[in-house]
Amino acid sequence: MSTLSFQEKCLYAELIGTVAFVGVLLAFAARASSTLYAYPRALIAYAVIYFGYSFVVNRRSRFKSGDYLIDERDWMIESKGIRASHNILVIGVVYLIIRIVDAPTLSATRIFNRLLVILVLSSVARIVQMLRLYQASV
Amino acid sequence: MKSAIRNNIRELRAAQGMTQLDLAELIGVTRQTVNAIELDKYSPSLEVAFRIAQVFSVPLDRVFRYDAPPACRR
Repeated sequence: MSTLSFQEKCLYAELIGTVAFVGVLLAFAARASSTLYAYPRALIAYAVIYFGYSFVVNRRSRFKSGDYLIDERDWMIESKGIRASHNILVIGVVYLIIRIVDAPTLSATRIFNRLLVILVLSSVARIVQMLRLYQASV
Repeated sequence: MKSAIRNNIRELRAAQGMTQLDLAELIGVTRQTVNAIELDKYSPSLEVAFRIAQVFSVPLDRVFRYDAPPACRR
């Protein structure tokens, strides 16, 4: 019997997926001659992959609800993880607004680049916070 | 961090020869949640607490007790 719960397995998969996504993006950015459209495309790809994954996981957890894959403790841990993620998002967006106001000539590519970093960081913060709480058996 | 709510679930479960998974299925939570409750790391909702008491056919205060922190004691 696995010691990891369904939620923990999903979180590890999400973490590996995020690291792989960042790795591919960095490898592409290092090789490509121009990254003009790379970040907006990467942002869209990240959003599509993330929402697709969430949709599949939600469907599975609903389908298997009779086996109690997710319960009240999982929801509590998820809410704490989302709170950590929102903190990063708020700080990141405020930072981005200040940068845009400070330097109105900031290119769209750079804005998308920073937006992508903020989204990835907030996602990683949620995953790490949730895994930390699961490890602590909260 | 340990909760101020202590419980006798492990003892009650052992007395009935029940595994964590058996109890989890009966009360509708995951095995990991039963483990966290037994270790006093997670305080279940009132509904789950009543379901646990119902499974063991004992009153709620036989399963859970509240050890108030010193600051809360009068």
